[in-house]
Amino acid sequence: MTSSPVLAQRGPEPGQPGADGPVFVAADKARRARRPRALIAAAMLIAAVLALPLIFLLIEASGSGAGADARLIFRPLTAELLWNTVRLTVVVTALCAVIGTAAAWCIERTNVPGRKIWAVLVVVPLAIPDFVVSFGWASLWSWIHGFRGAVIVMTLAVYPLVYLPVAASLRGADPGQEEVARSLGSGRVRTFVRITLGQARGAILGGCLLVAMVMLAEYGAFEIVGYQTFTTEIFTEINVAFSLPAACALALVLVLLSLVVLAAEGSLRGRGRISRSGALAQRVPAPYRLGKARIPALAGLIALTGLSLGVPVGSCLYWMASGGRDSLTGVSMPMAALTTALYGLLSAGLATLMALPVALLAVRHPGGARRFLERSTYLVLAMPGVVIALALSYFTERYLGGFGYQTAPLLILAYAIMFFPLALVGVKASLARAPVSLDEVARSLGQPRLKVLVRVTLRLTGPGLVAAFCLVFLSVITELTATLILIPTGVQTLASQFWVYETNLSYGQAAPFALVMIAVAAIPSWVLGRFFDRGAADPRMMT
Amino acid sequence: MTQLAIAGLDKRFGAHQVLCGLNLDVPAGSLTAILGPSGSGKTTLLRVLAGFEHADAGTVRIGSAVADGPGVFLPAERRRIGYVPQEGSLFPHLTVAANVAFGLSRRKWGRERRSKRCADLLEAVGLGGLDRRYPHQLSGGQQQRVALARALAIAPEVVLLDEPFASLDAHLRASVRADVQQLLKESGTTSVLVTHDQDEALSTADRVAVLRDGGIAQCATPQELYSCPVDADMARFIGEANVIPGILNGSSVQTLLGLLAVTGTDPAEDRAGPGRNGSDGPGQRPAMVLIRPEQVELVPGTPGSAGAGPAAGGDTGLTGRITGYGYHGHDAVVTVQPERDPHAPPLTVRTLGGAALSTGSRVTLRARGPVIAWPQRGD
Repeated sequence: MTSSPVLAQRGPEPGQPGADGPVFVAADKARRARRPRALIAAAMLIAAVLALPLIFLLIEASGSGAGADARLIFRPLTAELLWNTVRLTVVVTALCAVIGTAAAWCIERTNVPGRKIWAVLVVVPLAIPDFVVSFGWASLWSWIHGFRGAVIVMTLAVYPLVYLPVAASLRGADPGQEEVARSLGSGRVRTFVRITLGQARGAILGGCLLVAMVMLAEYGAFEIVGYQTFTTEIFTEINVAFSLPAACALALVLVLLSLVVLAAEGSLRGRGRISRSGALAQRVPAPYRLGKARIPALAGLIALTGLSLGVPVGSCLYWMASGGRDSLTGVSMPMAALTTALYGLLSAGLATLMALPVALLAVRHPGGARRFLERSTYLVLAMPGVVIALALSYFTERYLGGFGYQTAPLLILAYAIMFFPLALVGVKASLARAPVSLDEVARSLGQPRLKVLVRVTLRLTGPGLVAAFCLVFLSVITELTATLILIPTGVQTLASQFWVYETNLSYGQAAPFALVMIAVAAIPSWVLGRFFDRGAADPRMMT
Repeated sequence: MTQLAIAGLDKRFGAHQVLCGLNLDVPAGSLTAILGPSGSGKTTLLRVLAGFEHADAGTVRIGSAVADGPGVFLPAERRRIGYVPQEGSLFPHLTVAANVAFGLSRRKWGRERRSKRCADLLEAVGLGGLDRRYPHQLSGGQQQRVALARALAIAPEVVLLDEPFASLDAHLRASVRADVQQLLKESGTTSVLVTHDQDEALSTADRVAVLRDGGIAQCATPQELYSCPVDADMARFIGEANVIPGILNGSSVQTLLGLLAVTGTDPAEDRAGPGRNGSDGPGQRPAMVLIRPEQVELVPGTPGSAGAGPAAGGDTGLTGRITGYGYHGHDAVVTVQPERDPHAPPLTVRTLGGAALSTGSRVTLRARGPVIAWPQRGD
């Protein structure tokens, strides 16, 4: 090192601290840390917007009188819908848990041939909208119908929601624990059940929660296989029977059902957290040798991808090739694709922007009331798209005289509210990974808070923000329920135009829209896959 | 001249009082170490100084400006404090050059002066030519140097270093420490270093402030701190210490190891002045006596045996048995149980390498004065 006068050099900045500008003067009595007022205000506003659907449901429920509500709720139809919804949700969630976990274990932990290829192929169905899977199966075979059809279609459509977190968790798990268990005399099966599954427990539960929520919210896939659930019935009440009170009454039951699922998952998860002791270097465990079981494992993976990926895509290709041009006309494909992309980009941007203040508050300025504020936004999780669309249309009809109803801004707002929890998860996770000490260093180097946010915090959270954006974008372009209710007149997205053709049995014209949707959704899915690869074991991170 | 003055500083987190009436003055241009065990509030103190935490009471004065005091709080970005956190905390998305230049505003400095200063600083910390690298391409020691250059770039009033060497490998630590020390001296920057490592504090700093019970228990040069600790706990905290009872009589003290001369006595005693507790009166008083391990001479065998040398000054010394022996190459640390009093705590002795001593063998101990004695209070 050389001695240099540069060290003692003074910059053009004034020599005294605080020489320029006013000094922040705090109330003398309470010399406490300054509250991030702007952040709190923004977060409160966002929480209020997110609470809109629930508020309007409650207003409606109390407004129309308890008697009227009770009459609408306590009728044989409700019981039937409840039975249909619950039974389907339970069966599909269980099947997805088994299939998703088994596939994750085979691909992550065994020597099944072609692990890398399977790891990609098994996730791709996430990019295929549920109603396209349903269309692919039901348009080919008429026996895909009712309960049986719904179980097959939905299991094949949503099992990746379990696979992804479980695979990530198995990859991040400490292989030493399994080795210790074996060395302590625990057999292979016992070790698998007690250690391997134990480590993945949180991920499995998280995946199951996502599956159950999708089941409660799904409309298109059930409509195609002719299976009636709460969501399909609410949709019919709004769009066919035009009976908002009846729809609201049913929506209340549906929201309660969602809350039950959320609470059940929360209590099953318990307080235990999986922890790795120490900062050990990540070690890749030796793959489990399947021996003769390699053949059935391989056959299983081939069957899984064939049924979940091959059939829907093959079916679309078949209809495209065989179906001639129909007399039906709609908007052109490029027009619909453009509209879809525009809605997707705008709502993904809005949702990410809304998530930012809430996540900043939760991660950087934790506190009792602020934590409650953040947690309250998760209530949106219990709001299926149909309920949010219903609440927003009801609001515009009742309080704004129909102003804003079926306009693009309202639809985008509906999307942003609906997928806000997804955005929040991504933003929170990436913020948590950006160390606070970097913010502090930046401030000590003379940068004001806002500049620190732009120059350091946002730069570091970039990948997470992109992931959150992609997650919302992906969800928006494959969304059907709220789209059908709120889409502006004369405008079609890929999904809604597909739906028009499908319901008119113009399969040849519907199929190309489905294929384009899959192609567009594949890009953000791939980005997301990369994000999960980097070790977000629990996609929700609801800590 | 005092560059950083802390007076009556209080800080609590909930019910936990971390800092309590803390006073500390840091002279301009000095390197002051704040030494304390983990959990003693070192980092909290640093964070209050940097403006990341608000003090509950008291004043922090940086240069001539009050940074934290009644009705005043200067936010972190206005304090001109160069903060070097434990892990360096370089911005991972910026190059080394951009890291160093982070605090230099483009508007005030201009592009050319900014990059010139940045290059000069990197040269000064011995990392010239690495300006285009990213932090993950640097070693731990290099990262710490960049972090220091980044802190010095804004010509700070005070540099705060939070255990900056803790995350480095042992062999790297000494060299980086020496470089940083030299660099801070050359720049003439007032610096405060927080550490839990006594060696680090004593070997690096001009002044060492020991943090205890939420306040500064003693602030002195490393030499003073080692030779004149304020009490027995401080003596044990700074290096190894034998604290044994004795009878103080004027300027000498009678102990297990014979009659020893007393120096300087207790600084607190001096400050308290005469008259208190009859301290300067005649007569004998019980006291606790500090004897550092290197102040004890160890001779194999007993005074009667052939191995033992002639007794100095008629003092026959203390015989004992070796109960523990730790060999360190340049020296050896031996614990000896006095034979005269089997219940007394064993004495620690440092000897220069030499003869192999075995556990259980008999030795003779003689102390070399002068020693420190603290009169017992409240008897």
